[in-house]
Amino acid sequence: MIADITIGQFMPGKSFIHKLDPRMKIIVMTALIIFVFLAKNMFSMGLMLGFVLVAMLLTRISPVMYFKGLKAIWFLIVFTSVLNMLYLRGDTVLFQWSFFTVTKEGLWQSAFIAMRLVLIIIISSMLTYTTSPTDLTAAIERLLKPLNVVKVPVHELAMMMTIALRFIPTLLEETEKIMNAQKARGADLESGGMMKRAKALIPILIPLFISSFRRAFELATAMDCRCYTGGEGRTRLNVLRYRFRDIFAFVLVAAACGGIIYLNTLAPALVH
Amino acid sequence: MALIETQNLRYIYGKGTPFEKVALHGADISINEGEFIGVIGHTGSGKSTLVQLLNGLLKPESGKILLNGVDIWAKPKEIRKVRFAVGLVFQYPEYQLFEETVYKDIAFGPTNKGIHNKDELDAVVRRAAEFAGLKESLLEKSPFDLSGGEKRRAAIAGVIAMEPKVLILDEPTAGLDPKGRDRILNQIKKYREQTGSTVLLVSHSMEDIARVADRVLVMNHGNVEMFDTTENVFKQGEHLAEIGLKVPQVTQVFLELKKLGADVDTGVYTMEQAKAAALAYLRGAGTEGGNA
Repeated sequence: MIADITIGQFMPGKSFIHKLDPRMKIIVMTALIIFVFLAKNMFSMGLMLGFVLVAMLLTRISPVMYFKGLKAIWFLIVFTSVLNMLYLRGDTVLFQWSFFTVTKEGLWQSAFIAMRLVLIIIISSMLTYTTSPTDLTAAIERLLKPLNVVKVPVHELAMMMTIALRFIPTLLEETEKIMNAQKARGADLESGGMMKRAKALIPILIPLFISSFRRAFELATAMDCRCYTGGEGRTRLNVLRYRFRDIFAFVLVAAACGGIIYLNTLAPALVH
Repeated sequence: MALIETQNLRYIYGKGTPFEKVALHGADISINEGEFIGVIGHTGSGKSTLVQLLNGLLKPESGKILLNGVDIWAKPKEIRKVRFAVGLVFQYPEYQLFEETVYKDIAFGPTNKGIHNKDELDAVVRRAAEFAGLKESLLEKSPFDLSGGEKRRAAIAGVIAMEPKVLILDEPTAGLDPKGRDRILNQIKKYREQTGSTVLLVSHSMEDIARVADRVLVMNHGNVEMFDTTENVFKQGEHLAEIGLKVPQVTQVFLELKKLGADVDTGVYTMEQAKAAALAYLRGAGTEGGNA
């Protein structure tokens, strides 16, 4: 059950997208997410959709994994689009029943909003699926470095993020182990009312808490032993460097974004 | 009839993901009441998967587990009953302690089982603590104030307190000092002698297994490689070495002696047997020498 969580999971690979510099990935994925909102008619949205689908195939990760990521917010997508469909009033009424009115404009709008949500999930999954957590935080650290000037402890924040990400799978594994151990002692986690279920969590949470503290102390000692003193003067094993493929990816995304702005002018906007 | 029997038991981890791995390829084993079984195999051989299947924590992909002849997954809603009958002590069980006092922690299992009568519960808890070799004075302490070995024994008592028909221990001596190991092994031996329960002991230590087991189950890459009496298993030193395991040190010594030309019995696996075999050989050699 716990192993089913796919959002934010890194899937190692050797595709073009995997090999991109993580900073460039963050930059172009952010640009794409912004342009998902700027695509306002069928042509520009079509271009966006095509571009993202091709990129998705380029990652060589099974589309099934992306669908699994979508499954988590499936309800949200359907719910918002139904609400949008019913609330947005346009001029062309397609269907009316008591106080429900469905208009052509409303229908388009809700389709666009659903499409946007799906695209955002796919784009962000693409980033986390193809980038290891360490690369991701290294890139964030580098991109946020200018904030050092205004005394934001960028390195420390990045280190905290790295550690947090690093320990998510460990903690999940630990939780599963403790759950199994308590189940082996007959703990009943699946039945009973709210209170009973909340109480049933105590035998799991307490050992989990204790082991988290233990791990934290051990990690702190291990870092001290290796003379960790923070970001100052620290160099990296793998220095991030932009290569030709990063420039290529940048140009491609820039072209797609330009295309979206141009296509927006060709037909009236279907969404506000 | 066997107490526990498995029929073509298969288990797959992460089915349908890129990380799919078959952990057990169809195991057929049968364990009788009162037996002491040692389970050996290198890391990833399927030992832990097997023991978790036996008490219903994992559901088999295919195949059956029969407890007293009844399929344990026949009524999935009553799987908890199986967990009380087949008590499983995990690796590093001290990490599951959570109550304010050792006493309350040991009482967790029996309370879940439905023992609410105070006197009955008290008797069960104290008996379990005694089997695990915990002093009375420790019962009112916080489990987090105990030493490593004491914590381990408190956790084992927590499972024994459910009075299971079968007690499974997954590497109960891992990470303990020699004294702590001896202590736990002796307590388990004593527990089994006094209650007559069936015990399965998973261990990487061939010496531990040799000391206590009647029969040894050898796992390799998700298959049952051997399942025979301790003597017969440890006779196959070369076969064991092929799959990354060893024979106990004493057996190793006798195998080397044989290589050097001494006609000794190589079927020994405990110190007592070694002493007897060595004496027998020396006497034999002595008389031969006298005749010459």
